[in-house]
Amino acid sequence: MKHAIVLLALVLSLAGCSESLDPASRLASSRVLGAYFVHDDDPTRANPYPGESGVLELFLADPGAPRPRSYVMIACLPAPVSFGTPFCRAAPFAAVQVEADPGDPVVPPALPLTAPSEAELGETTALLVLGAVCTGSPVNPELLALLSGTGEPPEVLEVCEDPEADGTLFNYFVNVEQGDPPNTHPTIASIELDGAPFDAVSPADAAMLGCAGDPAYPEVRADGEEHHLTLRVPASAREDYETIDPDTEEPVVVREELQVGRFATAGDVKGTFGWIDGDLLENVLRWEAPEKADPAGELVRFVFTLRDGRGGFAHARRELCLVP
Amino acid sequence: MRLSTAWLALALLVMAPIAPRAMAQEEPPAAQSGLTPPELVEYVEAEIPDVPWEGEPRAVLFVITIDAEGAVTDAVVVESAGEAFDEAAKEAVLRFRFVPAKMDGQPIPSRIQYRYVFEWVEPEPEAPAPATLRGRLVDGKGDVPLGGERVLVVAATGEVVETRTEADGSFVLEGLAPGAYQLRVDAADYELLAVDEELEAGEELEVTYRLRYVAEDLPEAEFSARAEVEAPPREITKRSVPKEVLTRIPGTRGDPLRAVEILPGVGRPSFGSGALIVRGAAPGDSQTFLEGIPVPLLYHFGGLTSFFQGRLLEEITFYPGNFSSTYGRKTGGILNVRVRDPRTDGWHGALETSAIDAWVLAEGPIGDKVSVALAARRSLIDLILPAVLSGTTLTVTAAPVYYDHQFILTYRPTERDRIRLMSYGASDAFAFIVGDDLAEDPNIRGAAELRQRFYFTTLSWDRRLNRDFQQSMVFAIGPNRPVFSFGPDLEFDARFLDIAFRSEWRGRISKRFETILGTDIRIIPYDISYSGPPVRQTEGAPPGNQGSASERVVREAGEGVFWEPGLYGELAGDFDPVRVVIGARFDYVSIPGKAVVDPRLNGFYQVNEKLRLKAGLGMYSQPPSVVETAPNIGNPDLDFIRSVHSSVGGDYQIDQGIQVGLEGFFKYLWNRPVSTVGGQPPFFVNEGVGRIYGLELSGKIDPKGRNYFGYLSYTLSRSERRDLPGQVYRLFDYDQTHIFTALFSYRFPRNWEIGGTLRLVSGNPMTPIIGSFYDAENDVYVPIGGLINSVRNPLFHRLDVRVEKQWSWDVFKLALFLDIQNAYYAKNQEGLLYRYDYAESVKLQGLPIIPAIGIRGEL
Repeated sequence: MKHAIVLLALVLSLAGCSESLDPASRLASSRVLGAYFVHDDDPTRANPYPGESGVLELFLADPGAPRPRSYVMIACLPAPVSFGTPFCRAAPFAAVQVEADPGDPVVPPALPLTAPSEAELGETTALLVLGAVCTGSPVNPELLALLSGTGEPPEVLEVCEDPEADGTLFNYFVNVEQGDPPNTHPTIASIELDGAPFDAVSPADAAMLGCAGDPAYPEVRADGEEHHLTLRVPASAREDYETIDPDTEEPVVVREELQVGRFATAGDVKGTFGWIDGDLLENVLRWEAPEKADPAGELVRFVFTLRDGRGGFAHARRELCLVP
Repeated sequence: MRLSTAWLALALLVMAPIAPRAMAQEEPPAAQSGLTPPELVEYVEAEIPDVPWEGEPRAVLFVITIDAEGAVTDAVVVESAGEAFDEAAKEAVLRFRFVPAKMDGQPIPSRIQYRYVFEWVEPEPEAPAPATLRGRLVDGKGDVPLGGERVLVVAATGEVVETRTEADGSFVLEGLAPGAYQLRVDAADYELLAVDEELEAGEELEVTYRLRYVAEDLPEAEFSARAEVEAPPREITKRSVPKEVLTRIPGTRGDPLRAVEILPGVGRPSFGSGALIVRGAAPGDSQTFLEGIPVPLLYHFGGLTSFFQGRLLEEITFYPGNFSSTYGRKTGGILNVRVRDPRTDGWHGALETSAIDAWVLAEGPIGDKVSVALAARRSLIDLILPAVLSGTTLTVTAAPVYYDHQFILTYRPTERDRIRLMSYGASDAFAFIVGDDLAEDPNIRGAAELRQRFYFTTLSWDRRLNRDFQQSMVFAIGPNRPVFSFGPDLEFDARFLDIAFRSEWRGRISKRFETILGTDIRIIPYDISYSGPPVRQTEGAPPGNQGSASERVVREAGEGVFWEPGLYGELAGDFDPVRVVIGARFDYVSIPGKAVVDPRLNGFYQVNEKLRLKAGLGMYSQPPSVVETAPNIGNPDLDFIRSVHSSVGGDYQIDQGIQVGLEGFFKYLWNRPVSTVGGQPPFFVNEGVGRIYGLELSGKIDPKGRNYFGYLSYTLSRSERRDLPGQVYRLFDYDQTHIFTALFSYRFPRNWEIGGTLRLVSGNPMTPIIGSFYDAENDVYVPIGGLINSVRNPLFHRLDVRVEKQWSWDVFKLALFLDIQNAYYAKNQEGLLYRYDYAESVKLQGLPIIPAIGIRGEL
């Protein structure tokens, strides 16, 4: 019965019986869109072996010029929970707290860490990273204790000192490699807009208005028409790996399926997520242009993320100029 | 000389009495000229002497002397029959009176011979003591007495005794010879009552007969109820909706099973899903029985229509708590559905179609002892929904279709036996594909499917063992397969073969005591597979995106057989005006291998004819669910969920057909399976408790003798749970403080009927979301909940309207109806829809206006 209710609610919401909300694909504020491990010795590696070191970096995207971020991050061994928000089963073995000033350079939030040894890991196969990041405000100072499991749960959860600031709590599991070869980050081969190469990337602090006539950006009319953005990956981006077949419970070699995150600052992205699976090496995003644009032209920013489901991560950014 | 001559002339007169009731036989003497013999005019019967005597007649020959006045002055025994007989006869003879003998017209003394004969007659057997039948005739719904009605009692010999009921519905038939009788009452607007009674010598039988009211213009095909003598109460709270009302309730499209929603104690499920929420209990804590057999589905998905053809139902009874030991394995409420026998007065049929579904029904007799009924239904909503969903990228691959069928064959080999073969089943299927365009969570995409099919066959035998005892047995078997899948990783597929057997003996063991003994066994071979997010407590769960990409996937599969034997017994004692029912029930479940005994006690006090008080106390147990005890994802060592039910209240009849009731109840639950923190092994523990308390007010106006009927119910309650020790009580997911339902329907001239049902219900509790975690590994947000169920949806309000027009011809009836749910399109909030990061929300609206126009024809 509960399943029937869930389906009915879904159908009713999809049938337009309720108001609509911004989809996840709408990039309207500074957002965390991913995290990835950067190996100290081999940046192509996605995960550490026990005892190896690296940095966990956050990937954030902004609808305009980025601003410095304040953040706290901890790494610990996770409690063996089945659902809900993960939490630490022991004190953090790595932590960082950064309070940024407006004049600081914009760098990705990062947590240096060393994976515990096999003995310390025991049955654990992943490291838990918990953190919070704020743009334009320091992080709520109580959060570090809360994330570490030593604070009292608040009645009202404020991520940033300034409640109006963009703040995000996040968690991430860093997989600890068990087999060989180790997993590597996928790469993006190319992105096309309506069949043409789409390589335009603006400077991080570029103005979002006044792009009309700028040859650095392809122009698209604000006419509500649908356009296709194709993201291609090399064959090497989809690695083979060994896993356990859930039906036979026997080891089996499968090929990675890549989850594509698709975000835009304007227009209608037809689906936040896409998949590169089966024999595919590409994903096509259908994007519907807005029907209005600033006469001077306005930049529309696209952000793509790529996940292989095993810790591998890649991202790309592109801009086009929307003109009336 | 003359005198002597006269004496000689009369000497041969003979009288022949008959013993013990002597009869005089006078032989006329030979006539002599001028002489008239005496004539006996006053005969006196002699007493039979108290001496041994058998067989042969005894005669005493007298010579008696009669004076001129006709009196006997002397009697001399000439031939003796024994001293005792002689004296008895002489005493009688001396009291004889004669017309004196006459000579030439003048009275003269005379002497004659007179033989007094005692004849042996076999003594007649002693007449049996007559029996008395004291009865009371009342309306079948509201205990309204039926005065002035003619009551016919037909003896097996064909003799008919007739009387009429007094104003209070009572009647008395005295002096009835022992034997079999049929009592008949043919009251206007009521079904013909024909009840067989067996009266024993000297017995004073007291019975109450309840007549089933049928409005004169109701379609006959709807029900063929027969009047029954209502059993005295066993349950503290037994609610029912009369059949003649069931199909006329606005918002139900004539579906009788949905009528239960108007009763006190029944909560409102979200989206009108039909989930049975009884007195603050979760839907899974209540059970629907069909002829004593649990059924896996009450309504087709969406709660639009019940799984069984309503016009084949005999009775729907609802027990919100303190129910009889007959029922077990549940801690909530019981809905018992009884199926009627197919009609025997010829073949009948009905057909109805509306925008939601269409059904057909046929029934009739085959010979004298067999009758059959066949019905089938198919949804039509699959023709509508694709149009509703057009414009979205939700692709319907299997339109929402439901079917159900019923076949009933009743065989009555004797007056005492009824054998019934029944087959029924239902199939629901709905599948669609959530296009990638809609995916806000990597896992909420792809194919979704909801399917449930079950097909049961039952064989039952009811036998009246004698006047006081009855035995019933039912055996049911059938497959049941629920399937649910959504996205790439969530799939539940179960195959059950439900085998159920119930046997019960009930009857009166003395004038004061009745008893019930029964056994209730279920054996279920199963084959279950599950893959999806870790199983967890669903009620009171913190908000989360269960099934989202942020959760790991667990897989479990298993097959085997689980069995649940149950034994129950009840003893009811009548100590007028008090009635006490004591019961107990034993249940065992093979998974997890636990047994439990539940004692129960109910008491009633009939203050007067209008007011009855009642109170009950009992224990109720429920095994944990299959998934909660599954190895690897659940805890196979879980114990029974236990609860104690208590209630107290009264029923008062204000006037004919107008009744009100008030009940208070309290339930306490313990051993509730709850999830461990974060779902850590053993995943579930029996550490949850709960408490539920409230008041239920009910009122109803029956349609008898009226063109209208109405129902009013109000429930004030609170249902709370505490999950793990040390936590505080929180509201139950479906806690609804106020549940108010008002129903009124009026039948206008020319067979127009218009009615409405208004519901006002407190909004369901919700858990506020105070933030979220971004799961950077899977690119989804996981909500952070505040205090569980600490806020509510706004008040729910809805008006349902039904308009029906009927036309009747000799053998055919036609009805056209419009049934509108949510007639004024109240945009009720059923929850909140959150933005992907849970930072913003909008209200999730409930069902929109749902009109259903339909047409029904009946033969």
